[in-house]
Amino acid sequence: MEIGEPEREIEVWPLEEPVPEEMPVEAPEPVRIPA
Amino acid sequence: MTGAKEEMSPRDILSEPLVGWRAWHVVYENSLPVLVSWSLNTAWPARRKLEAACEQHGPRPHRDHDCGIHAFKSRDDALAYAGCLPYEGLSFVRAMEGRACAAVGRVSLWGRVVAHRGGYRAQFAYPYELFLIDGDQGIARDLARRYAVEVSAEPGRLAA
Repeated sequence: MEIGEPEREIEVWPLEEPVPEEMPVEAPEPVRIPA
Repeated sequence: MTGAKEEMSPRDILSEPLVGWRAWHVVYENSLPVLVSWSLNTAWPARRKLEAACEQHGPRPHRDHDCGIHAFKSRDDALAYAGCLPYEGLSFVRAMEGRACAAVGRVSLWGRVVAHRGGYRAQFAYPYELFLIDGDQGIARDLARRYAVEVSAEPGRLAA
């Protein structure tokens, strides 16, 4: 990627990282055992 | 204060992520969509930040190198990089196995960042908003669910 000449260095440290939380683990469907 | 921070001006430290523009391939692996960098074949993790990795400098991009996660400052540069014409005749020149479509969108950038005239090189990145160029609603839905970001299957919205 051609982005030109470097101009400055920046430290970017957000209080909260812009990443969505991990998906919750879904419980498996209960298995019905025939009587 | 001591060390490197002493040399920085207040403008050099930010608490909000920067936002740039990128292009990706959308590839299906094991029935799940994956964002892949346009030219380096890097698979972007879902719901985890992507961290740069340079053999010489580690994750923090060095001013005098090409390392770090790249992004353009402008949408049009990202579109041009992806080999398409903005707003009309969108057609991509690249093709790869398992590729479903292309995506252009905004990306959050943070950590150590080297700002260039036309873009950024960052230590960390995560997609912020995606526009599919040649995809459909199903791919948009799959991507949105996996990466938890807004995804549009209407490339015309890029012009908005």
